[in-house]
Amino acid sequence: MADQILNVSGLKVTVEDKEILHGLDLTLNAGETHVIMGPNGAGKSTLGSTLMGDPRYVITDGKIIFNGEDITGESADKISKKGMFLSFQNPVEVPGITLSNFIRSALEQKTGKHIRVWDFKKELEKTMEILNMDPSYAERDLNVGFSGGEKKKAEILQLLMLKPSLAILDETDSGLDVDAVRTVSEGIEQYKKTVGGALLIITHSTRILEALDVDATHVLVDGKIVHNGDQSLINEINENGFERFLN
Amino acid sequence: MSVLQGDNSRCEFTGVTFAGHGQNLDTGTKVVHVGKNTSSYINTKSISKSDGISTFRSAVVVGQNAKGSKSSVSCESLMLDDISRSDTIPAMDIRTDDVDIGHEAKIGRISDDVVFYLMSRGMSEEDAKALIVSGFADNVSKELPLEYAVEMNNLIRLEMKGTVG
Ligand SMILES: Nc1ncnc2c1ncn2[C@@H]1O[C@H](COP(=O)(O)OP(=O)(O)O)[C@@H](O)[C@H]1O
Ligand SMILES: [Mg+2]
Repeated sequence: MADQILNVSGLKVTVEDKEILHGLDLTLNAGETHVIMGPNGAGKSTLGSTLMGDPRYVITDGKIIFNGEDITGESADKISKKGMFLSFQNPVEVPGITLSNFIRSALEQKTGKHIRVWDFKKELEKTMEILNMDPSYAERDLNVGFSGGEKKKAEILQLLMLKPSLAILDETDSGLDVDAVRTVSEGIEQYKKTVGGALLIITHSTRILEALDVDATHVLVDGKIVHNGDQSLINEINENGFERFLN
Repeated sequence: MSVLQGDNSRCEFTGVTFAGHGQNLDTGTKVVHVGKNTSSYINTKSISKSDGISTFRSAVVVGQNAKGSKSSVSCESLMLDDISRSDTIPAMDIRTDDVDIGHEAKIGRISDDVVFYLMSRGMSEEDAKALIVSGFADNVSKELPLEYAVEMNNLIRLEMKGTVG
């Protein structure tokens, strides 16, 4: 099982003294693409934040193994350096640092090496072009005054620049118009092609998945994975909803 | 204290304070509008941590001849923990009605959402908090000459060392 990138077993998570995840199991192999679907409030974002090490989500039971290492209770910066990435459902605005400087310092932190500004700028520009982002965004403060669509593109830009081995995408497609969804999908395809990392995609729609081969689909209801299936499960859920998985 | 004597004269006051353990930084400024169409801008940012207290007092006086004058006061505070304190004490004495006076005070805390976001990209908790504090003071530091701005960011970093434990 050397190529297991993520193994979650019996995960119980509490937020503000309320248990949200009630014993969740999930396994991903390196390079695989998995989809998580589930009704609002099921605990999908909670799972993403917990895996990434948000200290507000308290793990009361279970284990998270990432790349063969136990990361249960590890801090977010350490987990990030081990190669995990979370694209946030609601990316925050951070005044005082430009998008470009932020990504460069994140890369330097991760690799522990100085990165030459010229090489970095060239790669950044190229990647922004793939994402149809105006180059001026690179010099704007991180997410400050970005539209919803630009914020999500900035997340995918970071994904492509930081090249993690596991990326969790939390509703990256929600609230985007058709063109933006297409652009973001192309970015995700690019990540698959050039980095070959594993993807855990939380989504309500099929559009973002069209160009991807999905290895497994998981249905998350009420803090538990209640059903596992293949790619065809996505369409079934889109037609019939979650009805048959409730209770 | 600034006295805006001549017609159309203006002044600006910009300040950043950082109150650490055991400090009570009690600062302030006063502006007197005497001439017509005078304007004043007061813009401060105060940061407090540990049991530090930031107090900022502003006094704006507009005399009866200072018609068409404008004053804008904006005070923002950032508290780094539950035991720090921040007070804004504005005083106004306005003696004419043809004026435009604005006062804004905001108090905030370091957002856990932002700290987690930055940490999820590999930044240590200490660096994340220092970045948030620098960002908070950013529009003030942008008005400083470059050498001062660099110095201020170094100071913030120094002050933030060891706040995480
Ligand atoms: N930071 C938080 N504080 C309090 N409650 C939370 C927090 N995060 C999530 N919850 C609660 O956990 C449950 C699951 O939320 P979430 O994981 O966001 O669901 P989903 O992403 O599946 O819509 C909800 O009842 C929500 O109110
Ligand atoms: Mg969610």
